[in-house]
Amino acid sequence: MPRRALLAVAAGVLAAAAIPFLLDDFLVSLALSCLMYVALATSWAMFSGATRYVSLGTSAFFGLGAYVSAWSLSALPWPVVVAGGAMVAAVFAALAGSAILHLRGTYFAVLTFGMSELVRHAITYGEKQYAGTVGRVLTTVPSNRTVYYTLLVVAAAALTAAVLVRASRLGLALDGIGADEQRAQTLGVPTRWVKVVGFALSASFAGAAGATMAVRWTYVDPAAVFNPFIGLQTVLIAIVGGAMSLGGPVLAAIVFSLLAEFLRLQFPYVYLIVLGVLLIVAVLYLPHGLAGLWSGRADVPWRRASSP
Amino acid sequence: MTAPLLAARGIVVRFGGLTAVDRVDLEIEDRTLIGIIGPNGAGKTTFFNALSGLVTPTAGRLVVGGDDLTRKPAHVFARAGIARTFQTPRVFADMTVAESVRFGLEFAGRWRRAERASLAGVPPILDFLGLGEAATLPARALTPARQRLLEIGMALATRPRVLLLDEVGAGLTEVEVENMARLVRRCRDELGLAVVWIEHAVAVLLPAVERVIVLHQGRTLAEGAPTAVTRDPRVIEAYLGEHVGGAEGRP
Repeated sequence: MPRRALLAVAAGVLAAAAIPFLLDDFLVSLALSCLMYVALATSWAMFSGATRYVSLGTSAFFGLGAYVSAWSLSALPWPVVVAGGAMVAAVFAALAGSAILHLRGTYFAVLTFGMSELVRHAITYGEKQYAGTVGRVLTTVPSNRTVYYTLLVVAAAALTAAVLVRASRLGLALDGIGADEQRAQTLGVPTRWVKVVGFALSASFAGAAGATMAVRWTYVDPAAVFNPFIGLQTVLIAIVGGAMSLGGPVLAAIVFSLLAEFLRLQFPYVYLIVLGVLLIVAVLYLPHGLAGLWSGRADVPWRRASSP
Repeated sequence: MTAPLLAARGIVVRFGGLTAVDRVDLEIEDRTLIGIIGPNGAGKTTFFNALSGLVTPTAGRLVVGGDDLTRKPAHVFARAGIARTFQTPRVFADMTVAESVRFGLEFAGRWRRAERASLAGVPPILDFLGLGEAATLPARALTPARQRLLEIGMALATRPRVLLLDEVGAGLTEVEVENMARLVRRCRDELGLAVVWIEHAVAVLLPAVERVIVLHQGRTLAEGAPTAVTRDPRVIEAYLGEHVGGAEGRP
């Protein structure tokens, strides 16, 4: 099973690798946005899809990665910058996770949202205090092609990690936590440790994506890189696509990025309305997301908590 | 005399102002079959939660195989050989029967040696329970009675020394209850486990066990052989008397 999924990932990566040679700049930047959400939604689903701990913290990890990039780009080689973004996000997720992962449901979701705001304000304050500025202009940035291939590597790594985690004992433990956390613990799962590791692993890819995308924007400021919309859209994409599946979030990330671009140009406000309607439809009628349409699953995990 | 598999000493569990379990002692020796009875709200399940590490006792000590596990999380108890079931079966709805049993083997069971061939892998455990032909069904497709069997299977997969069964007879038909009582005995006789069985329905439990503990308002009211305990006037008054008196004594 993992071999087939890994082959599919490899095929997808090869196809995406050809894009800069075949398409014009506008379409390549569209593909870049697809890749960003593939990385974000896949890594989100890796932890939150399995455990059903809905995290709104993606923007915190993404923004931290972006700032690591802004701080270190001129001093460090590019791969180290991206890896640094991943590492800082993972360490932060591990610390924050240790403090809040004992809470479930709405409490966890609200706290992860609060966590993103906290990081944003802390960085704003720190930058004002010590650097005397809020935004940073990145002057010498890698070429667009380098950025594209870096993000492709990040997305491929997220997908590969997702496949391997699902086939591993860690993935089984995360599934058990999602199904019944106490039961999993009484069967020997060190739930606290598993949750922190899963949360940190998931955050590392968002951090790497943030570090990569920062150079694309050339101007980094807290409002842009800690934009809560990035976190919300990641959750929407993963849920609409089917957070329990591998292919669902990938498909939804591509559809949404294209849809977003099209609607933003043609009807700016309609995009958010479409997004909201799709989420409602997905939660009510497609519990396994778009992925549920082709795997034909019928039960409703997101709503099970409310049934007797 | 060998050390008990599990020793609970002076266990107190308090929730705010309510004392659910009040200084209860229990020593579980190898291959014993102990029953715990008591009216609703006597603290039976809370006591089990303390024994399995799901609730940290307010006071008291829990020693498993010579190691003090007081205040340790539940997975440490599972790895030390304490397995349990829940009052309402808590199976992993989306996993198949075989996957659910494998779960226990992959976690707590991985840390423990299979002392009996019947606990070595998924097929022997399913055969022991008579669930072999249901292996590929999703857990949610089983009847409640068979979900209960599956829960016992998940617990057995952790390769325990002590099996804590929380009202495994509740809601079953008379025939199913008899089968369950037989299965509980087989867990002791064939698998060599110590079994502690909580049941609200006394009639089911008393004939099956060797020693009974009666909990009432969080305290141990009586303890001993089933025949002796049922003749204890304090037990009749607090537990049985309540039933008999309520049904027949008053108009």
